[in-house]
Amino acid sequence: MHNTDSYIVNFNIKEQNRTTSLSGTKIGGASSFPFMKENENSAKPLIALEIPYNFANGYPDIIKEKWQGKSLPQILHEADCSNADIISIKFNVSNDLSEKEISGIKDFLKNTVSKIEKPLILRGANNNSIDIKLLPILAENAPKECIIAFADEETYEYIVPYAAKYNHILVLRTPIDINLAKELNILSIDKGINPDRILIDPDMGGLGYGLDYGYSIIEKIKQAAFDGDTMLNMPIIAFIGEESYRAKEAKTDAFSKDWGDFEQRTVMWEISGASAIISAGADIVVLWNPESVKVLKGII
Amino acid sequence: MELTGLQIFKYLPGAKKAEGTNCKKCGCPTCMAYALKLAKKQIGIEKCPHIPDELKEKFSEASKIQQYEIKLSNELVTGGETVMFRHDKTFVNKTVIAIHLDSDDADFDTKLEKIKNYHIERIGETFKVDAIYLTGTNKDLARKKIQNENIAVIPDDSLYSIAKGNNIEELEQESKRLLEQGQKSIILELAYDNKSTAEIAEQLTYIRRAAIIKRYEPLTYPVMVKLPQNMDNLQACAVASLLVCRYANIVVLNDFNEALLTTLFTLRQNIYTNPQKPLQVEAKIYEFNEPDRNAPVLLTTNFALTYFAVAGELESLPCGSYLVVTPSDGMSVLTAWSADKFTADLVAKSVKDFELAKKVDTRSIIIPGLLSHMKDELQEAMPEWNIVTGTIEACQIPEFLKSRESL
Ligand code: B12
Ligand code: SF4
Repeated sequence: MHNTDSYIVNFNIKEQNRTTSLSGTKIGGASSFPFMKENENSAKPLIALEIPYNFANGYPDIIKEKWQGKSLPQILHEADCSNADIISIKFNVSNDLSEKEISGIKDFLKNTVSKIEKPLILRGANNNSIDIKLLPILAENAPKECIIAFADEETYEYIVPYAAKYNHILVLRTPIDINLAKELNILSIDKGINPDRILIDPDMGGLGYGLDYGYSIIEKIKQAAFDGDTMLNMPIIAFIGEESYRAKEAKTDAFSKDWGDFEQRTVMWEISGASAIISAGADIVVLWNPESVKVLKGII
Repeated sequence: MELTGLQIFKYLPGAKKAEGTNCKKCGCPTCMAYALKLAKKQIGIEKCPHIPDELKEKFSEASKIQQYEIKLSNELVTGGETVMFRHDKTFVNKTVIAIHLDSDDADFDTKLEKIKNYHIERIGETFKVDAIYLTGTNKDLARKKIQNENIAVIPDDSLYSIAKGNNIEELEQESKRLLEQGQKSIILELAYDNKSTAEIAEQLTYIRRAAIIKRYEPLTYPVMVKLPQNMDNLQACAVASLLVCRYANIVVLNDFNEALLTTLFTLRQNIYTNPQKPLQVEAKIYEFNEPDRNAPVLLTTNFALTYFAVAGELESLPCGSYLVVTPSDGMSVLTAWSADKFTADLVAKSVKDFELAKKVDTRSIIIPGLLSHMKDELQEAMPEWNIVTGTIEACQIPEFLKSRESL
């Protein structure tokens, strides 16, 4: 037998990442960076497909076209039948949540969302004044245990109690900073959420627009966790789809020929960013383009 | 691991109050002074007669190369990495992106022409195909056709040998064999074959660890991976992106596809920027398309990404314009604002220092839409200028200027 001891270096970890479970789907539990046998007992990186509540509000044409002519329940049904691991619904409402809007959302949760079989992420509008009202409603009316996204420094006090009460998993977002992530975890745990029900969202930028910062923060958080920091060893989630489609390269065709075919580039932009942060250690990546979901599921 | 001055000092007589303490034979006033110099490599380890063997060993270990830098052409090197994670320091030589061409391919000339002509610019960096991975029976002729300063041809026997293997064990054996023959310049080519993505990433990680952490010579060479032929461009994008992050020094693609190249080069640009120093541009007034004294004036920060996003739009305009770039430590608009690197005082001072008022007759400055909340504050700090809130995104600037013109 050939002796490999002289050059094989195994990863030295003190602590495995926390594991959480969402309707039977295991999340996290990393004991090394992805793809290594050292990391055998962890969940595979999960791919989520995100569908907006309202396509008219801020979605690029290229994504809208994918679903053109279909009703929201149809789209969600198709997403549920796709090979995505998780379905995310972004409640991108932009008004100040009238009674009518609220009852519409409740109906939607009860009649449509309840039919989805895959695990769910229910995500707010990414607007603090809306989200402090909206996320408690989502938590309370969710048809099953879900991932609720997200609370941040300014909103956690309002949102944590609801996530905890209805036993959801809560996403905590901090701007690309390991210390802020740790601090918000501690504060939220104080407010009553179980540390095993937290996902860290490092609020990263997409490919070409600050991805490098988020990429390194994910690696740093993983290292800190493996070194035994129990306030940073929660699984990591990244909404890379949304960030990808902020990029001019992914949403406009205003480039010369050498930048490549727009349709291809727009999918690749999302795939590449997702691939990179999966390799850095993200446990869940949330994508917008069903095609990227298919491709990434194929290679992981 | 490089030793710090303090770690070195612990081995010297001075730390143990042993014989020789501060004897000055090394030419330094104290053992501590010597330790600090040694850590910075400003003095040799042979200068002190009291160095214990243990430290000598540590030193020779630390001076071993972690990954050799191999020349692929006069213009291009690969390898030379020193850390496992970019945040530990920085990655050094960007992943080489090569494209496979078969010299017997009937379309060889057309394909080559496309590769040669491809180039784009992003954030001040030119992206082009780095190398051609040449196969087939007609290599000599093909090589002549490629002849281009800017494109390396792989393999090149005059520069390096290639050790091929299916896994880390085979690569180690083959590399050892080459080393025993006296070869010093090696590239490790890991065969993809039917491996899963996970297997390939795992092999690459073990090779990089053996190099960076163990400095195990047979594996301290750059690694090349060629994607399997049967991948479509989207799969190739997913896998090649992973390889850029997870330790391939050279990635060989099978097809020339502009979108794929653009995407991979952008990722590579992200991963290989120095995390300790954001890319920045000089703070000053930039001029686009020979502006006259009434051309519009815009304002932004000196983060390269931010600057080029705005500059790209201004260049594409049919009319001239000015862009005032503030010294903001290479931070994006909102980052600079939240870190107090974009304050009303600083903006006012920059505009004054750059003598904008002497350059233009316009008295309006357009600020980034993301900073609309600063408008009043800026207006107060610069009463002689009319502060106008611009668009949120740079790509909306042309439309915005057009609509202002027609007012
Ligand atoms: C990468 C990043 C960082 C990096 C720094 C990157 C850098 N070199 O600047 C790091 C990790 C260091 C960082 C740190 C911080 N960050 Co930060 N960061 C980001 C992130 C993810 C991307 C920023 C970016 O690079 N954008 C790309 C560039 C090109 O955008 P831009 O400069 O705005 O330019 C665009 C437009 O503004 C427009 N434009 C530019 N100039 C002009 C000019 C005119 C005239 C016009 C019309 C248009 C225009 O064109 C560009 C393209 O469209 C954003 C979130 C996000 N997704 O945007 C947060 C973000 C900017 N960060 C934020 C914060 C709070 C911080 C910290 C304070 C966190 C902390 N407490 O430590 C620190 C501050 C820095 C410090 N103290 O060291 C907040 C700011 C909140 C706010 N609303 O002000 C953000 C928005 C995240 C968030 N949602 O909370 N950050
Ligand atoms: S020669 Fe060695 S022992 Fe003497 S002062 Fe220099 S470092 Fe100290």
